[in-house]
Amino acid sequence: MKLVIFGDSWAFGADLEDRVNTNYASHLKTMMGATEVINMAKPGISNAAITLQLLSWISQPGALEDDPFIVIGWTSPERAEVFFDYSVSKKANLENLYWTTLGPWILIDNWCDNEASPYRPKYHKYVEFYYTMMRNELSCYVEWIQQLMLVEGLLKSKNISFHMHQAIYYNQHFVTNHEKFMHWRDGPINTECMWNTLSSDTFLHKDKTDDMSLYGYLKEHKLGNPKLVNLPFMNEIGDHPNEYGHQLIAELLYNDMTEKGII
Amino acid sequence: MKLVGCGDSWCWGAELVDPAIDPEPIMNLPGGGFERQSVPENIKYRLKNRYLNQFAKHANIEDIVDLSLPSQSNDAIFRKLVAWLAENNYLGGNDTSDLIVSIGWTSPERTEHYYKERFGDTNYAPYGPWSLDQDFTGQLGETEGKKLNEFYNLFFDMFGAPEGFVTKYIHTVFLTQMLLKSLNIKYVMHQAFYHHHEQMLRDWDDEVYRNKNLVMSNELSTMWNLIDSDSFINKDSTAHHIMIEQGSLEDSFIVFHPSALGHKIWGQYMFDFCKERNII
Repeated sequence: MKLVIFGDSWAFGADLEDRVNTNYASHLKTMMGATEVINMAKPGISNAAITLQLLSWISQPGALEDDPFIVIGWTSPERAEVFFDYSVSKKANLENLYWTTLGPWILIDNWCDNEASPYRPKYHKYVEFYYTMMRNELSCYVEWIQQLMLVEGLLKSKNISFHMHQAIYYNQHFVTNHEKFMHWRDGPINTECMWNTLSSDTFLHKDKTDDMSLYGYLKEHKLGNPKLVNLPFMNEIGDHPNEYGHQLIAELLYNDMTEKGII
Repeated sequence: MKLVGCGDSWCWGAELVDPAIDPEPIMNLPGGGFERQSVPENIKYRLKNRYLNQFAKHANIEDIVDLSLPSQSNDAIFRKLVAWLAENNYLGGNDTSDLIVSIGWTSPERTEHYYKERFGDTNYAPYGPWSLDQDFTGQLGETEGKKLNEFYNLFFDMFGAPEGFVTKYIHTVFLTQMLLKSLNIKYVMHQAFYHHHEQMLRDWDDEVYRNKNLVMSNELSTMWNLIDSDSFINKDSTAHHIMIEQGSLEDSFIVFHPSALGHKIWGQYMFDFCKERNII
């Protein structure tokens, strides 16, 4: 069996000294007895990009050989994926000519001055207008659930074994808050009903509201002191798990998969 | 049985007005003639002649839930269907055996954004190529309106590439299929048309649109191949095409929308398709 990981900087193992050998993907490989681990995770990625990346990977020749097991670590829903026109991407010499992720980082002063950014100062106000005026928590939330539904449905329709979890939830402006997971029952759409169509058999802590995300769970259950800034399972800045955190995450995921009979 | 109709202006029946009181096309009137559409005689005519009701008549269905609206994007079609299924607790376990859903997908480049303030009756602001020709200062005031005017122009120029919108389109169709199948809901889908920006309908050509816009990467082809052709009528074609084939360009359309004849053709075609495949 080969283990394939999709996710953001948490699944990638950002800030770890020996990332390849100490991130939770590598621990899971050992625990699950996988022959290899393919870690597709990328820091700063959005859920829309994770979805695209997964679809792209599945459609590659040979991808479904050697009994793949897919683990998806979803990121914070407020990140958005935009599709810049080719000419804009080309001018900016972007490696990826099309998709670009917008996150809270676009609101930082001088961010658009970065040479690698396609958002030249003259475009910045439009990007900010889109990010702040044309979306809100509800619309991001609805998109996020649709992505979960899409991926769950695709993997099931192709009989691919998988397990999902939420790494972080509403990670605003680089500050990882512990937030409650809330359903939107009022407004234009009752998202709780959409959420209920997703299976809890393949999603870690799907129906928990206080500690659904990895961050929330580790904070609540392993430390018990939400006021601590420098958490033992996080790095010094407090935005990514340290080696100990990755070990805990791997155990958490492995135990959930075992209990649910997925592996 | 309950028929749930989802779609844009083609499904809604735009431009269908009683020739006895409106012999000339209303699209040529100021504001697109929507005032004339609200005349009671014209509402009656529209609801009698549009394809959704024609299909219902063939299938002996009296209960129609109309979720269609002119200018809707595929994002809105999906969102409103899910909202309706949720409100009526079909997502929560209500028996779905009495439902049949008809979806007429609109042209893929359309989308919607969740505007921070009210945008008409809702917060969702529809976007299509026509948005570039609109001035939002009347609706949102000078400052915000100008911002949106500028934003939409930039959105069209910078974010309107086909590789982006075709991806969203296929995701939406695929997701809808999965949802309806998982809830055991009978359904039938079709592509109403592909919109050629700044061209009159008589110049629209499906093949030109498809070659220019619907170029699929491997992953999208994988997903598109999983769309059930026993539920999606002529998966690689449009209702527009069938209406021209079985009627004629002059007789099947008014200005930008099907005529009563066009709707009649499509209502029958949809019914025959469903009957042959035991959907109804």
